Formats: sequence, structure tokens, C-alpha cells
Amino acid sequence: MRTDQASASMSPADSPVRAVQIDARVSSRGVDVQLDVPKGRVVAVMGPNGAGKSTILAMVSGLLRLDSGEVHLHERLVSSAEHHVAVHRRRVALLEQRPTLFEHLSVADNVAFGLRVTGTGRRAARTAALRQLSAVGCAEFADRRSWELSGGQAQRVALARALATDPEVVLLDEPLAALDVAAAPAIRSLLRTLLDQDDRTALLVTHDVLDALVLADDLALVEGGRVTVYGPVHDALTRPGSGFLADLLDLNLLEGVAVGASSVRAGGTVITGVTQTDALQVGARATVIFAPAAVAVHLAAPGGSPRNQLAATISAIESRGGLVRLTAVLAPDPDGTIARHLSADLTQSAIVALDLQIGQQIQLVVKAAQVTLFDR
Amino acid sequence: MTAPLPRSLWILGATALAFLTVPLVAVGIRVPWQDLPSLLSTAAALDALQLSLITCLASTAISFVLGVPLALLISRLATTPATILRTMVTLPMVLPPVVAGLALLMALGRRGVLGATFERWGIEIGFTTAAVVIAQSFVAMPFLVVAVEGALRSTGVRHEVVAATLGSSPLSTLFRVTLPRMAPALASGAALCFARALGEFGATLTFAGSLQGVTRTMPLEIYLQRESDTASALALSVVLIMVAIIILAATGWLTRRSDRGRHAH
Repeated sequence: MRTDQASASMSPADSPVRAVQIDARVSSRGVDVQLDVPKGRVVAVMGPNGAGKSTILAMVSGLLRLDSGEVHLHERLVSSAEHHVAVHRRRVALLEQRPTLFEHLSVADNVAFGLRVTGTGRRAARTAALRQLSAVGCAEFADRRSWELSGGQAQRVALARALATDPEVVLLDEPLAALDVAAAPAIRSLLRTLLDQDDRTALLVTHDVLDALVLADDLALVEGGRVTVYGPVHDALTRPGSGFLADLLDLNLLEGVAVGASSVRAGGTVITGVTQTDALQVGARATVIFAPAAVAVHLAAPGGSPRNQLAATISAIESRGGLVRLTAVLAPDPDGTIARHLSADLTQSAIVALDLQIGQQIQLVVKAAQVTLFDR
Repeated sequence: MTAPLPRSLWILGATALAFLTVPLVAVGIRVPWQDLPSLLSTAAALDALQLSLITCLASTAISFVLGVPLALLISRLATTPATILRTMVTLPMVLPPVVAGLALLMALGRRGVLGATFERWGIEIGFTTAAVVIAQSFVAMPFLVVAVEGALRSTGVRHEVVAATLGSSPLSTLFRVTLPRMAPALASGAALCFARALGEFGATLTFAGSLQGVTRTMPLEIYLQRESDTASALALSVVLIMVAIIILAATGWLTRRSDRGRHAH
């Protein structure tokens, strides 16, 4: 992981070359994106379906024209409302869910394709292709046809083909999503090796937190056509700014307003916790997170000062491995906060002892030490 | 899996099969097989064979060079304009050939909308070998366009997009990706087109006439000889039936091959 030069700002751009600069709008897709990627960084692009992740890739690859704004690749203007550099002149490689190999060509000719069409001689292109095929562990398939490969092998060949042209930017659109669980880990680690060793710049669209943690330096969260969070992966994931990332990480998340240095009014009550950053500014927006395992359930308010209590109604009880996941809806909030679901992981015996039922009123109790607070 | 059909279907199905095959079998029975070489080497038969071969190759080539680009263009259009264009292209395919011939006459004939201008330039089309090729292309090109466009649309442009990201220009992508991947559809489309051109009768007769060695293709020769020299007509018919069988076999084989490719990754 190359997190050394990362900063949490919206443009971690202290590095000399800015590989990808997007400040662009496509109104038909409801997308308005600002994103600045320094050379050599891998950015995980995450977000709900239809949020605009693929649109961002299409802006970079040139498959989509802009309504306004600009896209620069390696500080060269490639897209604006008036100017559009064709896809094949952008030096941008694309690897999607499906390998999309050319079935009329051998595996080696697939990998050599990008070199051949840009003027490399037959022999030199073949040599380079074989080298790239060995790098992805598929040298022995050089003279096979694409339909003779397994899904994982085909995706490795597609990766070799994408990297053989030495692209300035690699676009990865859920590259592991269509692979079976047995093949994905090996290709994930192969991707990491290849992206790291050549210091590639890449945008990686994924739904899997593991992909972001393993492959990416930075994480860009896209919601409603905008980049809402952008920063080093760990910061972004442990400092969630939205319900989407909390769902990914399986954390309880509440938004509120700071009422003290380490207390936040959220979910109809004041929650005390540990601040991750500096003391909270009173009156500023703040985020509260805590793990489902940190939540205890009481039938009545237990009292005792250092505990946070949230009145809620049980909406679901389901078993999860050895534990029981209880989901509860917060009581209507006098401050007007939207009712939210919170999760609590309990033991089976606790459920039986308390005789918990769906629809029952309960108190969710969390120790202040297990609550993390962020300012944002 | 077997799902039984009612027994009564067998009778109707067998009747249909007999209806479709008996006439061809009858030709086979009546053909004077031992005289075939001499029947096919008369001047009239040789002229018709040669003319048909040349004009069908020419019209298939024209259909290919013009029809494939049209198929590519239609395949990239949105649904509504594509449907409109496809309907316009299909019309000559389902039109009665004699109407197609009349339409060509109105456009390119001596007093036609365009033909009058051509004639002023000294170009005469009606009742020449060129007219035969035009009539054949007019009715046969739609077969090629429809077959190729359907294949293009069903495979989509994913491979072309990948080629572009690998640095391939649109022209290079056309020749290195699209056309090679379409090879089976192109070949079967061309075969269908050739077969239709070979059988062309109504439009040719209306627009090009029936002049031995100039516009009298095999179907016209067969029609002319059907009563006066039935043996010659049957001999030429056998040639056409053989060509049809070969074309069917070839397109079937190509379709199976392209299916195998398409079901791969």
C-alpha cells in the first residue's frame, strides 16, 4: 500500500504529475464530478448502484462526452464541451467484469493486439505479449483460443492485454465481480502486484470493501453523481461520511450535531463517545459510529451516567452464525432526525432471557468508550 | 426431454413434408440424367449459365460492398430509427419481384426519374447486363443487410470498445475486430444474397428483358424452354437445385461455427 503521501483533502495532489483530473458534468446522467488523482495511485470508486461510478470511468476513457467541464489525463486536456480526444488516442486501458477476449485471435494475439494496432512489428509484439502472459501466469495458453480458457484464466489474459500497451491510466470496472469465489483472491493479489510494481495509476470500481482495502490507496465515494468522500482508504472507511460506507462495514451510523467536545445530539438523545480527531466544534455536524457488537439491550432505561441510551422498537431478529442480529428502529426524534435502523449483536441466551419480540419497545445501550465520534 | 405431441399432428406434418419434397423428387425422376452434359452444353444453356454466374457474382459483390456498411450503420442506431431503416431495407425483399422490376424501370428506365438524366449523359441501363445486376442486387442485397445487421446487433459493441481502449482506430477496429468476428455472418449473408440473386426472375424480366447472352439468366432460360424443350429446362433446374443445396449446407455449417464462437467468453 502506498499511503505515505496521502492527505484527506478533496485533492491529494502534492505529487508532481496529476494523472487524472476530472471536473466535469454530464447532465443526462445527473453527474457532476470533481476528482484529482496523482500519478501512481489506485483509487477505489465505490457507491450505490446508479450513483455514477461507471460514468466516471466513461468520462476518463472517452466513451462519454461532457456537457461542461474538463477531463485531463497526465495534464493533457482530453475532454471538454468542445474538445474530445478519441478513445483510442487516450492511452487508457479498460478491464471489465467480463474479459471480452477476441475469439477470432489466439491468446497471444489478443495480448499483442494493442501493440499491433499502434504499429509495433509482429515479432516484437509477440515477444512483449509472451512476457506479459508470463506475468499473469498464462504463458502456457499462448496459442490457445479464448473459449478454451476458464473464467479466471480469461480474466488474467484480459488483464495482460490491458497492461501490454503500457497505459497511462488503468480503468478497472468490477474486474473480480464475475469470477467465482475460488478464482477471485488469486487474481486480486495478481492485480495488486501488477499495479504496484509498475506504479500504475488506476480507477477501480468495486462493491467489495476487500478490493478497496487490498488494491487501492484512496477511496472515492460516489453518491447521487457526486464524489462525497475522497481520501486514503483507511481514513475514508473508518471515518464514514455516509450510510453507504457504514453498510459496507457493518457499523451503526448516526448523524447529528455536536453539543460538546465529545458529545453529539443524534437519534433523539445526546451520545457521548471518543473523538477520533480534535475536540468537536459545538454546533458543527458530527457523525457517530459504533459496532453492533457494542450494543446491549435493556427492557427499561438502566440509568448509570457513562452509558448512551437510545429508545427503539425491534423490527427484526435473525440469527447470524453464533450470534443473533437484532435490528431496531429509533423512536421518532423530536429534533426531526429521520428514523434509522440500528443493529445489535446478542447471544441467543440474551434473546431468550429478555423474551424479546418484534415490535417490542427496548433501550439500546452503548458504552461511551465504544462510540467513535467524527466531525463532518 | 420429451414432451409428447398429439398423434394427429403426424398426418398433417407428413403431408406438409410430402408437399414440399415431392415436386423436387419429380424433377429428379424426369431429368434425363444421361443427357445432362449435352443439354447443358447447348449455346443457349451455356450463355444462361455464364450470364447467371457473372451477374450473380457481380450483384453479390455489390451487395457486400454497399450492404455491409449499411448493416453496420443500422446496427449502431437507436431502436426507433433502426426499425425504420430496417423496414425500408426489407421492403424490396418482400415486394413481388415484378413490382420491384417496375420500380426499377420507373427510377432507372429510359424515361425513369434518374434514367432520363443518365440517358442524356449517354448512359443506358434498361435491358442491358448491367440492368440484370441491378435487378438482382435490388432484391438480394436486403438478405445480406438483414443477416449481417442482426448478427452485429446481437453481439453488441463490447469488443469494439475494448479495441479502442487498446489504441485501435475505428478503421483498424473494423478490419481487425468487427469484420473478422462477423466472418460467419458475412459469409452466410453473402450466400443467401447469392442464392436470391441466382433465382431472380420477375424483376429481371421486367427491368432487363430476356435477350440471350445479355439478360437471359438461367431462370429466364428455364421459363422460356419449359414447354418447347423440357429436357433442357430440367437440366438447368437441376443445376439451380444443386447450388441451392450447397448454399444451405454451407450457411448451416457457418451458423454452427459462429454459435460456438459466440458462446465463448
